[in-house]
Amino acid sequence: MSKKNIVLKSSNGIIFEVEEAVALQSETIPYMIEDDCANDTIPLANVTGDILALVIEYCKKHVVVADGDGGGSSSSSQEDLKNWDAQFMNDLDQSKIFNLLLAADFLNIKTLFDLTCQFVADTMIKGKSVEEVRRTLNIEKDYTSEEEAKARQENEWAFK
Amino acid sequence: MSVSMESSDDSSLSSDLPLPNEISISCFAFVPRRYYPALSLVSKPFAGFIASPELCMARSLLHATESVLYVALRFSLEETHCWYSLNLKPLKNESTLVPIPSFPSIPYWGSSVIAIGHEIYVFGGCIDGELTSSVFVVDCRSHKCTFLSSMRVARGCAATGVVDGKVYVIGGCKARSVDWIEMFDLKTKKWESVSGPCNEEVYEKTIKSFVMDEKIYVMDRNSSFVYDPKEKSWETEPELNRGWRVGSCVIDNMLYTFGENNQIKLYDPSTHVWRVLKGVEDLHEPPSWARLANYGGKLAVLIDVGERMTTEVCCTEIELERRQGGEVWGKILSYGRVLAVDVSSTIVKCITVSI
Repeated sequence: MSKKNIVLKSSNGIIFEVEEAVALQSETIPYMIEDDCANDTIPLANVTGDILALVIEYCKKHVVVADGDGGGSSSSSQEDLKNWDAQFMNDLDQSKIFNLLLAADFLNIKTLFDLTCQFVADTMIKGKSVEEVRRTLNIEKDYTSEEEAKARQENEWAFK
Repeated sequence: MSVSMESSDDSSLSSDLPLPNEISISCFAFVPRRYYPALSLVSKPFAGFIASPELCMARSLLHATESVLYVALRFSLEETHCWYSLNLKPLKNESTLVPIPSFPSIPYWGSSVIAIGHEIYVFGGCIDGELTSSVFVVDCRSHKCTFLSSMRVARGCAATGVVDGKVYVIGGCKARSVDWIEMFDLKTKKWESVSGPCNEEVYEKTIKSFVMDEKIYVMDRNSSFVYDPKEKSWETEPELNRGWRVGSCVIDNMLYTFGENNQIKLYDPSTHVWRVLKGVEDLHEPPSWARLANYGGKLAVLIDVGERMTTEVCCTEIELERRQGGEVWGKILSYGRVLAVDVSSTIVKCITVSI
């Protein structure tokens, strides 16, 4: 069986040629192929080249296991994949992570979307104080001191 | 929905994430509940996400819900229950019972209260000296109350059990009739009467009921019975009757109870054998009843250790491990005071919801 390739084009015009199985981890791309919105090149107007490269790197890594012999992947390869995912996420800065979330949402790649959400939850929110979350996520406090005191009082138990 | 792919500009601060609301909510859904009070204080948009029904939905869809203990106390001289939920503090390994003032009021006594997913169902009970047939459900994500269609007969202290998506309500009424057992279909929200044996030996008031292996165990003041809704059969369960106490709970189809000699015992309905839970022999002597609950597969033991005229609830969380030969070992994960109040009280309910 010959492998079919799909050509993806990022918003800034960068071309990526990938195996069909890699691209079809996105649930959005099949619709684009169906719609025949591009007979050879699929334009992804919402995804820049650097982010699309990351998405493809993720999909390439994950296609192997999904496509593995008989569908049953060994536990060690699952473990390897988990480690790979962790490393993959760790290497990204915050702006890339947010853009990856948007791309995973737009391309509808559920495992990548969940992985990225989980990473945001674990590394930017969990176990942090209010001030630390603000600093980490670059959030401006919009409460007045009175409002904050009132909100704090409503959940007083949490801050004792 | 339009998706903007502009990267966040670090120089300009915003009170919101540079993401569409539903994506922010997906990220928050992966955060354990204990951090929600702190997240609410970050900014007003964050507080909005935390309070949103969409976040509850997202947690359900992601199977990211957590087991939360709901505890009802009745303070002396009070006619109403005070409801609390057990919450982990965000930055300490401590739990605390947090009052839920908005929890709807339930009848003073005799209601059968069960948790199904994120909801608490309340069947019958006694209001102003009269038994009621009314049924309502409390959504524990909002603590809003919805009345469902009433039972055909008014009941107090009825036995209840959920088997195969249907709630069976048994007894608690004088009617030794076709309506002695009624069945509520959780899908269609409709009641049906259940024909079959109407057991004359069961007292009008049951004390406790549980479901194990899709059978409903019913305990009254004298005996224990097992009702199989599929076979429509009743049998007595004398071995169970010998050991169970008020405040028991079911985990993994075994009944856990705080029994004699300050030990936790468990009953396996398939072998009809009681065993001692190993490894946790040095628990507090309970001055009153201990309340046990299935806390997400772990065992939670709530005991009021307060002196006269006070309430001091302590909670022990025990991890369970089933070893070869059927022995079950417990390991204490945490122990601590979760509530202190200057009035005496009784723990009347202790149930687990998923939110």
